[in-house]
Amino acid sequence: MPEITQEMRDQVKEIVYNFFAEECEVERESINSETKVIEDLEGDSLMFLELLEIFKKKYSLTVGVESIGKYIMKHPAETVGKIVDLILLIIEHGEKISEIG
Amino acid sequence: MNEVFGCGIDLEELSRFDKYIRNNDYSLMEDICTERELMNVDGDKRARLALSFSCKEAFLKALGVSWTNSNFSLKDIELLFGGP
Repeated sequence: MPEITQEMRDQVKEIVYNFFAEECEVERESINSETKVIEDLEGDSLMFLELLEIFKKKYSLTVGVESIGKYIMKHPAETVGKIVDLILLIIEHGEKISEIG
Repeated sequence: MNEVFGCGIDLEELSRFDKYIRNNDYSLMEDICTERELMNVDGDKRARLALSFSCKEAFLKALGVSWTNSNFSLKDIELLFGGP
């Protein structure tokens, strides 16, 4: 289980913010942790899958989408800040994320 | 008489799948498609990937759920193309 460092947190945040800025064609500066992905950015589930792919490759993660779906069902990730937290949990717990209560 | 449980519609831009096909990157396809679906991908891979994702999203919408808020996974739905 990898330890999440501050550097890693900053890196994940940067990638997530830049990803949504590019995909949703908005200014990077207009995005903050409270920005709602669907309502404010018009993001969608395909974007989320693409974002997952970026991190699965970057951190050699083998977590399945179904495990992540089970976690999101209990802990909806509606804002950019929550997406960042979710990605960090996926990096930390991998497939076991579905077991987190 | 058959019963209709719901109606779901989904639309995806083909161009969103371009980079994966262009780079021979099938990671997204593996997230969306079952093993049997992957074995039967021929022809226009970009169109098949978009179609698979879109059909599965539409199916889940018809049920009033999403893979992000239910026990359904995209791989719980399998699309079989072709005749009998």
